[in-house]
Amino acid sequence: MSKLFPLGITIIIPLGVIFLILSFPLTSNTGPKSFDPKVFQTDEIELLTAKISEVDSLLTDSILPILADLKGSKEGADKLEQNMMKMKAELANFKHILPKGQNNNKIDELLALVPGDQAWLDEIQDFILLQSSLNNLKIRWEPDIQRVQKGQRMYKQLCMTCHGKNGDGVPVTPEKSVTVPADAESSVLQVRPRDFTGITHKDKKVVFKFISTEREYSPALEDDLRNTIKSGLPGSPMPGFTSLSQEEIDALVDYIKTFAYLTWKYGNVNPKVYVSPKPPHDLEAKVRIDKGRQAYLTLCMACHGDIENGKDPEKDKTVDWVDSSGKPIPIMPRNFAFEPLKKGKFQELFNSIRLGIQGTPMPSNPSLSDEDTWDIISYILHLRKMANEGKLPHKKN
Amino acid sequence: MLPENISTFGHLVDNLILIIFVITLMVTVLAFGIIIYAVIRYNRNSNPHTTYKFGPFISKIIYLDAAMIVFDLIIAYASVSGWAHVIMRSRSDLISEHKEYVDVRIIGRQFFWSFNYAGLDNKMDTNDDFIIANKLVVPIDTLVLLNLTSGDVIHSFFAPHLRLKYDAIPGRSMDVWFKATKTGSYEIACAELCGAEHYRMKAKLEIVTKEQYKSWLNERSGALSVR
Ligand SMILES: [Cu+2]
Repeated sequence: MSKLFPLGITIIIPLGVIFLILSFPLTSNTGPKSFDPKVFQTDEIELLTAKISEVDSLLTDSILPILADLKGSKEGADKLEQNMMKMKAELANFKHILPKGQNNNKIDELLALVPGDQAWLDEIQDFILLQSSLNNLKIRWEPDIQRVQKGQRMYKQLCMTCHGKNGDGVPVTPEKSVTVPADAESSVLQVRPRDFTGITHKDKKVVFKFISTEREYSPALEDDLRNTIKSGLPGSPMPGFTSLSQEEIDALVDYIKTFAYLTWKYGNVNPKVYVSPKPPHDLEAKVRIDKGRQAYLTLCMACHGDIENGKDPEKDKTVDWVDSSGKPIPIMPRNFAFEPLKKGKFQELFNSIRLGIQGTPMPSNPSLSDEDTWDIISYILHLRKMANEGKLPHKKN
Repeated sequence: MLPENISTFGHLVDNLILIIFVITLMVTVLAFGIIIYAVIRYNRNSNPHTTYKFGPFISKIIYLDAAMIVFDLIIAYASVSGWAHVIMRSRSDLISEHKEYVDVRIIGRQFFWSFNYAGLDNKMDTNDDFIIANKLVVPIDTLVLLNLTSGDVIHSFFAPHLRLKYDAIPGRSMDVWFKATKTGSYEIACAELCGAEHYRMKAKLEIVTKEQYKSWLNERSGALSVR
């Protein structure tokens, strides 16, 4: 023992002390680690806002006035040419901080053009129109850094696994649809989580399916996102996050918006919100069902299938959505009888018929009267009842 | 010491814990008792020279083994009977025994629990299903059938008040069940390290009365489901 004691003092204890000192920085390291430094690092969010204000001032202070000057004047053209090199440099500066897929391509195009060229001018004009939706660059939303940071933490916990690290709908853990039967044809179909950046859309547009404003309004109301987060989308793996508080949902929505920062920042400040009428009481009346069937057969059957006679909806053939490997992402029209409806309340369904579903072939039907719409809903309700009572032919059952 | 037991089979688990605790306590007390006795009785003053005593070899084996076998049998009985009651029950058996039941499919995800409800018709994969994250609402005194799986990595569904813990494994679906005996709000956790946010993978377990459950279900299932 006495022989061992000096060993303890000379080697083990100093080693322990060194280890403790070395491990100290590890314990003081708080705050979430980030996945993609460009998009996720919390310190970078501050940098991001600073950069973005640079971009904004560039747009509002130099480009817009010059464009305004330019209308029909020769001096303006000269002035613009003088500023071109400077602007080009500045555009290159902020290129990397813009949300992925949103404007990068656009800026690449811009940079490739010769300064002072008419094409360059057109492109700049295009670029500004894209950002402001022709709305004089009115600021609709500004991120609150703390809220965004909180939202980021929550996103990593609750959303990232499906919606992806970069919010582009590429799941960290891909999953097959739980509602589509696992036969050869439809097991190819995967439920595609929403892409918050717009990178998979053919026009690089940020699109949300279920919104309560006119179709042209971009991209959605905050309330629409809140609703979807709260109630989920039945028939897809998206659950309803009912246990989140209002504050938490707000934080999440704020963070989701940073994936397409400019799109959300400049938008229609006063969107036209559509409020659907209250459902009538006689939705289960036979007259309505028959009328609804007629309307369904002419308006909806082509895509949604003649469900009553055992025909499934056909897989959509449009190529609005393309994944990173260039494969089109198919959109499946709903089978009203057997599948849960993503927005299944009467008024929500009314909205979907009236306003259409963005980013899908489902068109808006502004000319369809309220009564006709309710007739169709009444028929859908009838179909669902029949399905539940086992009176409809379907390969699944 | 243990969280409150609110499931019908919780006492089986608690008993098992108690039995193991008592047995290990007995063995510990006995072993330490012998050591302390030996230290005092055979200390240097009273026993300056080492004495060796050899009894018949076989008797030592018998005493030790007999005790071990008895303890083992007690523990085996308690755990196997609990296991048989909780895990080794087929779905159809449970349904025919209880008749009334609630069906929930649980999918563990990084990093939340996703609870798929069968809706008003109580049938999975029909048109009135809905999914809720991080909140399991079930009625009291009703059989709840859980179908447990994972969407990504191994998670473990742990409801300490229900004395229920079972791994959620990707590609596999496991049937477990419980029947709650007390209303209230409790906690569900993930008991398998599953990634960076594992520590936040918590859900709420809400046991409500049957009437409350019915109205909640009605509200959640949406108007377009069949009443
Ligand atoms: Cu987990």
